[in-house]
Amino acid sequence: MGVNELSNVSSGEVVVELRNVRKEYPTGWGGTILALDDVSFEVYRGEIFGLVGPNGSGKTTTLKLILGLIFPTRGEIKVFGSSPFDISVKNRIGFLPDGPYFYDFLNADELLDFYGRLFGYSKSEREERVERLLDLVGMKRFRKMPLRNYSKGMMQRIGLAQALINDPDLLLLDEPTTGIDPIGAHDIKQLLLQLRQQGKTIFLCSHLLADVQMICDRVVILNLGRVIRKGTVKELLEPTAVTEVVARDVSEEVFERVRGLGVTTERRDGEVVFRLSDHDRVPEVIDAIRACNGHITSITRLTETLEDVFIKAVREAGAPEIT
Amino acid sequence: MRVTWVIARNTFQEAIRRKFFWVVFLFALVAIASANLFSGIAPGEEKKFVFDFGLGSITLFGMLITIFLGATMIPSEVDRRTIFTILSKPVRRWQFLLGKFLGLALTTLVTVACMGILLVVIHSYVAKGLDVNVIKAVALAFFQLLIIGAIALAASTRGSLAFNIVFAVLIYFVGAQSSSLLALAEPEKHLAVERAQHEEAISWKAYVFRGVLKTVYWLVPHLDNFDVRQAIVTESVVPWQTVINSILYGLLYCSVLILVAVVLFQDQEF
Repeated sequence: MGVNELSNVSSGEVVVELRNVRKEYPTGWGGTILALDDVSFEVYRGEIFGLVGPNGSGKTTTLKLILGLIFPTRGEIKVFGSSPFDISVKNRIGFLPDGPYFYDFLNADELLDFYGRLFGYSKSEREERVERLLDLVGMKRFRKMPLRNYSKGMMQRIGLAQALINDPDLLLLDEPTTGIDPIGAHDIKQLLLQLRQQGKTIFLCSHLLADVQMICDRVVILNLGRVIRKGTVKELLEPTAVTEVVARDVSEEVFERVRGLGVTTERRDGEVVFRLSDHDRVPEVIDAIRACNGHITSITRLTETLEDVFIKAVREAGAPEIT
Repeated sequence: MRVTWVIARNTFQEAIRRKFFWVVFLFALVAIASANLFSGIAPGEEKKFVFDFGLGSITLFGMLITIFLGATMIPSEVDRRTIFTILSKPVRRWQFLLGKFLGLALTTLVTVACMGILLVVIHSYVAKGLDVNVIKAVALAFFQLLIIGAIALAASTRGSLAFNIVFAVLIYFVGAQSSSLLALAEPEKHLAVERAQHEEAISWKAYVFRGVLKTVYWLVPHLDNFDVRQAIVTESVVPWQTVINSILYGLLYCSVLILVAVVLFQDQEF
């Protein structure tokens, strides 16, 4: 069972809303390149929302629109019910960019203190937050080292710490586990799950589809600036589910009869494998096997991975539009 | 103002931790300190030489620091993508830009103050007494640099690094000759009447040319207002009113530039 099926504290309150958003970038000489086209989705409070897509699909553009770093050509964006340019919104969000770069003349202590100052925290409050966050991301040992000497993984950890400096209600993360070792990546995923338990909303952009499948409640797949799939992880994977019944000592008569029910069959190492996409027919198949004194070895429910769904969906896409 | 100050403080901190800053700054201090050694080139004119050489060093090295910092400020924030995390915090764009300018102003102030103190000390030693005119000249040099820094910063909201540097240097040289522009644009006030009439009779092109010159004159900063070297070298007294007027002009010019920069920056996409 995926983690996303364990607990979903989503409240139904919309935190981020995109309505028919279109974004074009100028290419010079009056031309434009379409980055997003008619993109609409919502992110609910308390969920981990995954935005996935191949390179150039519009993930970072979407993030920048939500952060108010760029302006939509058309459509509406609301964050906590307000414009993303509203300064009060920014008090409630934390952001980790992809491949983060920070002021490399500072050390971790100074950097987090700087971000804390931007929120107007007192000295003692800043010290308490810096201490707690450095501990949380495992960077206490390196707090006095200038950032210019940090590895990519260390930078990612400190980036996560700065994103959490204001204890945000909405955390926007662009590839948070990129460049981090497996243990570090595992720690970050656990941290995100903990934050969700605390009622935080997490908006995650990632290429690591196994991670997205594991921790996200809902997913939007973008391709060439368009939403090509959206739904809960279960909704995306469910249509691909099959029940696989493996049996031995199945008579030829039963084999043919079951195959006649429209069930995919396969002979493998003296056993017969029946694959049913119509799960209601499973008892019928089991009864038929038992009726001929066949032995059922296993009954397994199989689904494709998010990666399989993603690849299939993306392959249906067309070419980018340049006007 | 708190957020603006946080940005300004960080900008200053960044500037003074750059190797470039220290190389130029130390070189400037060495140049000013050695002014007395070279003053033997002009026997009997040591005082003037020290002042001229020292103020020239302050302007040259101050300009190197100010233009470089001003021109790189916004492009480097965008290239390093540090601007993403700053503007995703409760920081308004104008606060960010104003903070950057104040950080640049603070860096220029500290740089010019250090160089200026050194010049005043050496000049006082050579002149065997404190000359207030030197302090006035250093103060005016600071405001001159502030204008150039504001130009570089305003250009950096849209331009590339190379463009910003070239643009700021160009404006400096044109601004330093602004009164010559006016003389060319209004020859009747500066030339003999007959000659002016003759020029006007030559062609309509003169009107266009003069119009362009006048426009440029009004647009570029009148940096020659800040240059009191001639007065000091001729041992005239620089009136306080001139200093105050120039400073007020400098502050006004910088305010307009920052306002323009804020407008340009407001709908900038990152």
